[in-house]
Amino acid sequence: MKKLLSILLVALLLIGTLSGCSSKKELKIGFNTQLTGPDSYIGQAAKIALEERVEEINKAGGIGGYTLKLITYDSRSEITDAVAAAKRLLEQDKVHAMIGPEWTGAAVPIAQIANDSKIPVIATTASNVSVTVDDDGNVYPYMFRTCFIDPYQGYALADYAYVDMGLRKVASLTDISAAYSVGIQKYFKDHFEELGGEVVAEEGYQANDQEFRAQLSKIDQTDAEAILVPTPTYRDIALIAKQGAALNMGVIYLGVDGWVAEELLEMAGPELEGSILTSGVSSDQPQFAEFNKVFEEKHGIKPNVYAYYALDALEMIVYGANESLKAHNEITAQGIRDAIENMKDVQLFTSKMTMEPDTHNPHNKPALIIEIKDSNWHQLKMFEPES
Amino acid sequence: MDYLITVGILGGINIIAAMGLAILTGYTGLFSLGHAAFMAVGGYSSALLFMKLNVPFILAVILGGFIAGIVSLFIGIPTFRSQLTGDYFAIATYGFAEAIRLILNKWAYVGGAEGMPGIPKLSNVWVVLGFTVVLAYLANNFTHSQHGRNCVSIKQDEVAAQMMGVNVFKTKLMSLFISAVYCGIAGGLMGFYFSYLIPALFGSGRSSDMLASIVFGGMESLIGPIITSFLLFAIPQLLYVLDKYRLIVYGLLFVVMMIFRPQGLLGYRQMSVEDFKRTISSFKNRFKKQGSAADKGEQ
Repeated sequence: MKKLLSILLVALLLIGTLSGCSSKKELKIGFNTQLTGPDSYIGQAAKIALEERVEEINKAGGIGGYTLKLITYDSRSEITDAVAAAKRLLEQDKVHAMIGPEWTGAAVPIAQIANDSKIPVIATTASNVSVTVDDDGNVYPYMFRTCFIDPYQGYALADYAYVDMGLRKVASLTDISAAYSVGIQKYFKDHFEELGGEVVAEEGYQANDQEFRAQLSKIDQTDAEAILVPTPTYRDIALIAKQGAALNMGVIYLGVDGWVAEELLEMAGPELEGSILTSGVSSDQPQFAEFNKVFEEKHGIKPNVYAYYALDALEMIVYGANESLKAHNEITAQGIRDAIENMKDVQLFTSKMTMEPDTHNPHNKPALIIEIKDSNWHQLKMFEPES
Repeated sequence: MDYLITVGILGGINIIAAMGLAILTGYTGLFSLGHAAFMAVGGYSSALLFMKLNVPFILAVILGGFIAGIVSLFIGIPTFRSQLTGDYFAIATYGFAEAIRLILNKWAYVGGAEGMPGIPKLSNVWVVLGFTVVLAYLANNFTHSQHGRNCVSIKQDEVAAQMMGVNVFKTKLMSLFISAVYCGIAGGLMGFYFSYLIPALFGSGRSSDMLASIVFGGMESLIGPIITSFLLFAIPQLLYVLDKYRLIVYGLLFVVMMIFRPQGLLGYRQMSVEDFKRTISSFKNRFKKQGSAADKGEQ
C-alpha cells in the first residue's frame, strides 16, 4: 500500500516536469489567474470565457496559420504563487503574451519579469499607478493593462458625489491592507476636498475582517451623508452593508469596481439600495445581454466583469498577433508588444481601446456611474474624462 | 531553465526561513505563528539600508537579519519573562506579527499598503545558495553545541533543565533571536528578488506554511525541515498540470503524509554521512535478496 502510494506520487510529480512540449505553429497565450480560494470568482468565469473564445478563433482557422493555445495557471491569490506562475509561463512555456494577474500586489513584481523576458503582459484589473510606470515615471515597456487607474476612479467618484449627488460630508471605510483600496480613498479625498467637500471620518480594516460594527458605529456618530467603501472584493461591502443595516445607519454607500459581482446583489441587495459605484464595465449593459444569456445557459455560471476584462486582453493579443503577422510575417512577442503599444481605436470585447504609449494605460476609458436599485445594477451616467 | 531557477531561489529562501524556525520550534519546542513578521522586518530594513543608506547588498541583507533579531527581543523578553509557553506563546507571536503588518500597512514612508517598489533585483541563485549553505552550516553547528543541547533539554522538560543549571530565559531568548535572524535574512533575499515589498507578502498564511514545514519535516531535525520547506513550495509548482485539482492533491499529500509518518518526514533523524552509507547498503542488500530470489525462480 505504502509503496503503491509513493510510486503514484512520484509519477504524478514527473508528469509535471514533462508538460509543455510541442512544435506546431502555435500562438501561446498564458493566463495567470485566481482559480482557488475565496477570490476564485475572479478567475473561474474568465477562464471559461477565454477558453471558449480561443476555441472559436481556432475553429475559424486560427490567426494566419497559427493555432491559439491557452495555458492557465492558478495563483490562489498569493503573490509568491502569481510570480512563480508568471515565471513559468514566460520562461518555461515561452508564451507569446500573458493575461493577468488581476491585482496590483502581484502585478508590480511581474512587470519586472515581463521586462526581463521581453514578453508582453496584460494585467486585467490591477489598477494602481505603479503597475505600468516606475517611481520615476518611466513606463515598463512590456506591461499593459485593460482597466482604468485608481486616481481616475477616485476622481470620477468624487466628482459625481459632489456635483451630481450634492454630497458635502463623506466618511470612508478602507481596507488598509490593499493597495487598491488605499489608493482610491486617497484620490477620492484629494478631489472631494478640492471641490469643497469634507471627509469627516477615515476608518480602516484589514483584508478578511468579518466584523465592522466598531468602525460603523464611529462613523454613525459623525454627520456623514454617505460612506465611501473602496473594497477590493464584494464580500467586504456585503458584510459592511448588512452590519450597517443592523445598526440602523440609513446611509448610502459609495463604491468602486471591486464591488462588481452578482453575488453582492444576492447577499446584500436590499441593504445597498440607492448606493452608487463606478466601474469600467457593467454586466447589465445592453451590448452584453446576448453574450450573458448564452454563456449562462451553456456553463451554468454568470460571466462577470473579470471575464470581460480578460476577453479584452485576449482581443488585444489577437490584434497584436495580426499586426505582427502583417509587419514581420510571423507572430513574435516583440511584434505583439509593439502593436499593442500603438493601438488606436481598436474594437475589443467591451469597447474601443486606445493605448497611451507613455503610460500603457487605456486612453480615456469612460467610467460608468452605477446605482444599485431593486437589487440590480442601473447605469446612471457615463463619466467621460475631460483631457 | 530560468523557471527552475526561480523555484530554486524561492525554495532556497523558504529553506533559510525554515531553518530558523526549526531551531525555535523543532529544537526549543516553542511554536510560533508569527515568523513571517520577522521576514517582513528583515525585508524592509535591508531594502531601506540599501536604498537610503547605500549599504552594500550582502551586508544589508545580513544587517536586516540582525534588525529582525533585535525586534524579536521585544516580543521575546516580555513573553519569556512571564513564562508564556505552548499555545500562549504561539498566540502572542501571532498578535505580534499582525501588529507588525498593521504598522507596515500604515507606514507611508515605506509605501504603506501600496508597497515599496523599485528595489534592485540583486538576489540570484548563487547568492541564495551561498546564504543557504553558510546558514545551514551554522545552524548545524548550533544544534550540536552546548546551546543547542540546552534548547532540546528545555523542550523535553523545562523544570528538569532548570534544575540542571540551564538558564531557561536566556536560552529561549537566544533561540528566538537566531530564528528571527534567519527569517530576516530570508525576507531580505525575498525583497531583493521580487524587487517589490508589500505587507500582504507576509500574511499569517506564510507563518503557518513555515510551521507546517517544520512539523512536516520532523521535530528536532534540521535536514527534515530543509527538505520539506523546499518541497512544500516546489510540489504545488509541479502540480500545475493538474489544473484545478492541484490544491486538492496538495492537501491530500498532507493527509497521507501525516497518517503514514506522524513523526514527520525524517522524525528525529539528522543527516549524516553514516546515514547515507546505511541507506545505500540497505538498498544493496534488498537488491541482492531480490536478485537471488529471481535466480532461484529461474532454476
